[in-house]
Amino acid sequence: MKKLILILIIAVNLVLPAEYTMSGVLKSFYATETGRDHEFLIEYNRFQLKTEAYSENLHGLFVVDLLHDLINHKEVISLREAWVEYFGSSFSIKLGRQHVVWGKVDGYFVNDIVNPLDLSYFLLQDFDDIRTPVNILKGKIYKGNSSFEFIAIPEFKSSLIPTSGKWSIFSVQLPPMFQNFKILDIVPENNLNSVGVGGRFSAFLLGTDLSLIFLRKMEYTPVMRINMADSLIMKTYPWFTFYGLSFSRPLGTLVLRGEGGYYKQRYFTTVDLSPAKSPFYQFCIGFDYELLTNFNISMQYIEEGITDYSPKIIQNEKRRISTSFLNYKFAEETIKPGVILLYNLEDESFMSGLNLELDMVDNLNIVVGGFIFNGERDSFFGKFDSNDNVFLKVKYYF
Amino acid sequence: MRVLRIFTILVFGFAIAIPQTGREIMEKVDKQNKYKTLKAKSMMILINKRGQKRERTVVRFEKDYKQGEVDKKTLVVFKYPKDVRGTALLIWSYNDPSKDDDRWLYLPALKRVRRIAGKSKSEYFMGTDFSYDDLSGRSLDEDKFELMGKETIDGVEYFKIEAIPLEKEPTYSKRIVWVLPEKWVVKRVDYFDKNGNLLKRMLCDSLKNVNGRWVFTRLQMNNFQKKHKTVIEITDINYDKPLDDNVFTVSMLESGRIILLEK
Repeated sequence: MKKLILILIIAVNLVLPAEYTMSGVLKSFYATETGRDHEFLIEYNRFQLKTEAYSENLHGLFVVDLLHDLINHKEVISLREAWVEYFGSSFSIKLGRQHVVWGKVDGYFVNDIVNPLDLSYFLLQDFDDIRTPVNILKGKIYKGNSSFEFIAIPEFKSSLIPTSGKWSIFSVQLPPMFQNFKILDIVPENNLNSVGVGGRFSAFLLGTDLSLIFLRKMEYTPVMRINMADSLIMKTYPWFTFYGLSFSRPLGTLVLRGEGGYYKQRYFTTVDLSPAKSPFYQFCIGFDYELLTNFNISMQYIEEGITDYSPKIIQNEKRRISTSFLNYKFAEETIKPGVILLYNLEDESFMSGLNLELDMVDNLNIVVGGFIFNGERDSFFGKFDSNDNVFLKVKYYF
Repeated sequence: MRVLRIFTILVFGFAIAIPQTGREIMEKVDKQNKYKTLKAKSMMILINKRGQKRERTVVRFEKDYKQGEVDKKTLVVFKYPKDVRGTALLIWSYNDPSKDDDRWLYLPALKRVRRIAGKSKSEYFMGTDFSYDDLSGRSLDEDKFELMGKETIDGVEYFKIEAIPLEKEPTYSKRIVWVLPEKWVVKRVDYFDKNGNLLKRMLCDSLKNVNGRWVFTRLQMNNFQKKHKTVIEITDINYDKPLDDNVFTVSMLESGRIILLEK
């Protein structure tokens, strides 16, 4: 890791004789529960300083991130993004800590699975903060309206999935016989054997944007396994192979878009922590439509399922979610109210939000709003039933 | 006899050279404004009804294809302010008037390219008084032109032309265009909404000759219904400089490198 940063610093120094710019953003996000205690559910400040350098064929970027998270007791300085890109007339090579965005879906991750996720606050953070950059080597070849992208992921970093606290996404209830077992997190070593690889072919065909995706890498979310001999519960990160596709196409004033993916074999955590694997699929189909001038609606249907399901698997056999986003822009886009609804059709739980975005002054973005979660205690959104909140998000760009 | 011949040539020859119909005048405008590529840096000033101003800096790239299916490709990149820096709109317009534009919007905050509808209900672009349709422009075959006569504005005589859109669901019910003869540039455009009411007016000033082409470098779009206006001042304009086809691709938008294109 240190070597990579050193290489990047040298590379950016090569770029530095050219021009560079500095900019940044200060973000504050506060949410308090609407219940009796008015306890803070989200309380953090984030400062990101971005240095961009460029010359004729080189482009470099460093983003230093300072996070002060009062809920998770974190005061962290990190290099969030750090990459150098060399580009020619029909190709580019980009190396370093970066985002790779392959999805077209709003509010969910189907094909957008190259980077691990930070779900510390479920889906309430900005997507740019949820998606965590990792070291990636990316090559891209362009030819007319088509491109081919190849990636190699030499760094393993697991997703941040809270298993305790107010935003706990899942917690495995261990059978009594395993209560005294030790939990061992088997984080894969960063070596050539653990390098994930993938590719994406994109084309513009008959008015449609199309992408075909291939990805082979390790899971970012751990799968629990038992080791009876050593009395261990192991958090493992098995390999998976993924084939995906996506499209988007306008039809008059409507834009149809969708993406889907198929995991050849995916490992799942079971109630007795025995190994279980099965093919797995995910897909999403949705549309964006301009109802009236500056009044837009987006709706999506998302489905995922385990095709060869065993009742021992903790995850439900199927999940079907519908999402609706309504937003209106007025006063020259300085005031933007919006409504969001994520509804789980399987367990009838939902997450609903109302927000008002204010851009009254350049470089200052303020969002106020609230979220309601509803459903059975163990349902997808219902597990956050006590997290109904009102929030304030402020972003200052400089 | 010889004098009569010269008189005939002068009178009728001149009559042939001067466009007689609205369509012919607009063809002259189109021809005068023809270029292979365009790169223009502009400052946009957005002024609301209380007189409050907001500034935007944008760079616009255009490449004229004409031959084949594609008519023109346009890329508009926001450079300032910082909260919208890097936001970019890519438009492909087609020679076939019945074919909608293809449009993509890159949002740096999401690091994602979004396909947007080529046929929008006059949605305004990024808080300006220019709709997506205004930005992509119109080919001559998309309107029926009628010469309404001549009109004098500030002591200068202009051709006044009515442009009626031919598509079924147009953004505007009609436009009235004022054209400066001989220099063949548009001085003023009045836009009418679907009910036939005056919606907005574009007024152009500061006429300059750039590389042999006449161009107004100050445009003011006044939206009467919203009581809002957008002033565009073109600070730097270049015609026919080489622009690679790759500039106008979704891959380029996705790379986020569009922000460097001005360099």
